[in-house]
Amino acid sequence: MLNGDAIVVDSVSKSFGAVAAVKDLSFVVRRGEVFGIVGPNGAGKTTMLRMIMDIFRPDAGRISVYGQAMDDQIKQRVGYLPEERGIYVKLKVRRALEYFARLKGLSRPGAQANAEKWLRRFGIEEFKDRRIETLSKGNQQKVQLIVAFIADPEIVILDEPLAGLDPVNARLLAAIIREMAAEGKTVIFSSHQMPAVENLCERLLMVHRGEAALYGPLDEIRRSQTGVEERLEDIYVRIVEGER
Amino acid sequence: MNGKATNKILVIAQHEFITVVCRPAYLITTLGMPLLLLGTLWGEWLIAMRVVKNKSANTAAVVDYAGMVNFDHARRPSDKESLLTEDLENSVSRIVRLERYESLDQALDDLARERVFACHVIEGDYLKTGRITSYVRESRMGSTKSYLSERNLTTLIRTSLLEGRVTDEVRQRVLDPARIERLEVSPQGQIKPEMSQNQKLLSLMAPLLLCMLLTSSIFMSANYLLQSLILENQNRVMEVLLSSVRPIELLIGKTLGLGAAGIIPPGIYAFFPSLILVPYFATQGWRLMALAVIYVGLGYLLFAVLLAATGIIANGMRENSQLAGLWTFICLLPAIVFLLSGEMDSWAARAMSWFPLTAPTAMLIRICYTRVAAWDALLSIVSLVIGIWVALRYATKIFRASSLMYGKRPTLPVVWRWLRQA
Repeated sequence: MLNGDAIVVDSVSKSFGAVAAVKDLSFVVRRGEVFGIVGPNGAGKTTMLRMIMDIFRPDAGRISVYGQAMDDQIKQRVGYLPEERGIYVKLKVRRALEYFARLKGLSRPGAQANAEKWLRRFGIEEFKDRRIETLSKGNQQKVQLIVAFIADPEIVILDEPLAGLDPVNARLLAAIIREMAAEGKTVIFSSHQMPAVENLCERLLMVHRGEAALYGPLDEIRRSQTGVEERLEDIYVRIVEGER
Repeated sequence: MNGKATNKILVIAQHEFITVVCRPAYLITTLGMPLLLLGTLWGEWLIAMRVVKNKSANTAAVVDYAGMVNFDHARRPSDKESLLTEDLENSVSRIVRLERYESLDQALDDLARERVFACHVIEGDYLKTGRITSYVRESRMGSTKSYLSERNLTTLIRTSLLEGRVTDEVRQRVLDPARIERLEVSPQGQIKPEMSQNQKLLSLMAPLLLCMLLTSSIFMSANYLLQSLILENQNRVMEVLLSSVRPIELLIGKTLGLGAAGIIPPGIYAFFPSLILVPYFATQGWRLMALAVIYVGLGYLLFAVLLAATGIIANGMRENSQLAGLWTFICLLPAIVFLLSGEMDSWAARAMSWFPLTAPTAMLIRICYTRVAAWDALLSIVSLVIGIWVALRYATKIFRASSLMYGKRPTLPVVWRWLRQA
């Protein structure tokens, strides 16, 4: 474990039956950085993030968070937005948020206070007593994002957080991610939106067919392929198209 | 399991419980039906009380041509006394009042005008023939009150006939000749008073009632559990939950919360029938009740965990109902075997008591019907606890492996592989 590493993924593999979703993947996420994971659909990004969250167990290799395997203590310090967005649509916004906050170990008053704070931050405090199903799709997404942030986590893992967000809300989320990084928090997010990744991330991992296709600081990656600075999207397309 | 894990389990249990019990359908099922039943009973009670208080509706006319009845001995209608302590027939017969009439025409006129419900005529040659003529109103239904008033009249005639001829003590014995106290001798030679018919009925019903409570709770909770799992699959919320809690915490929290919600409706339905269990346990010993509570509780936990595991891999409501039916059949198997064989102390009966899936029902029946040794009961409790632990371990594995398979159903070989890896 290097000093200052938040997450270390060491030679991790995971298969589902005959399908190898992740193959011998290794990378490090440093404390306080915004780390991007990009790759085409089915590349293994979500499986990788689920393994970090200990939702799936790797077949081989080791994942450590703050130098140890994910356990209950660490889980409380990690916020997670899954790709499969989940929320209790029949519940009122405040009750749903308080429930998820309490599952993260917050007391009832702490959960209430944090729910209020994040509802204000996302600009939807007036909807707190409404059922989630009555909100617009964009506001439902905000509630889902708040669930990831509700316990003021030290590490936030966001799987495709920009999917479905309009430009205004995407900008709001980007601002929140930058604020978190400025506070020394670690943010990992996967996305298909290369401009957003270029805009937010310091380092990134490109996964293709379960393996690391590119890994390192964003600036180095953009120059390493042709010697001249390229757009990340072009590199991405070339790698994916090159395989076909 | 540390304090934080326990706290999370309680938060999940509370959430699941509140979510289920706040549903209108749940409230209607749980409270509406019993309230309707109570309302109906209350209405019937009011009607019955009105009949009781209506003097003319409870009065029978007696025309005594033989001139031998002393009406001073006639039973007076009772307002308060002994309605709760006497048997039903005696209680009702106290309500019936006999009133002397001098003229048959007047009595028949009052009968037609519904001032009396019957008219009994003691014929002049009664001492020779025992002839009494009873007039009742034309009706398609038989009259219980007429039968009771005839019985009261018979007692009144006996009392009048014996008056002054024998001592009061002899008269009392003629009217109530024997009070038999029956004693039972146990196989061990122990002599004790025989249980009353009511107590014997209770001892037959108690285990059945407990088994019904257990199985209906299993069915109810199975439904809530499945609804909860379907909802979470539809809402895709499982992954968010698993990012905060371990599968075992989620499973235990759901089982406790939905279990509590599932046991309330049958608990309320069984409340009034259960009241009859109180005198039963009072006579049979509270140790028996403690054992019954342990078996119902452990049995419920075991089946709830199994239902959770099978519920999540079941393909929809229909398949889940079939699986719940299978578990209920296994749960009730000892009752069927005992009914057919009549043997509750055989080795087969004991084996069922020590096998976790059949232990709750087997022991609930055995402890009520036979003497079960302490070691026998202890062994079954230990087997149940181990069974719950094993079920929880494997159920958690299935839960973890299958909870993110949205819309997909694992095949049997896949489930088998999960179980082997547990």
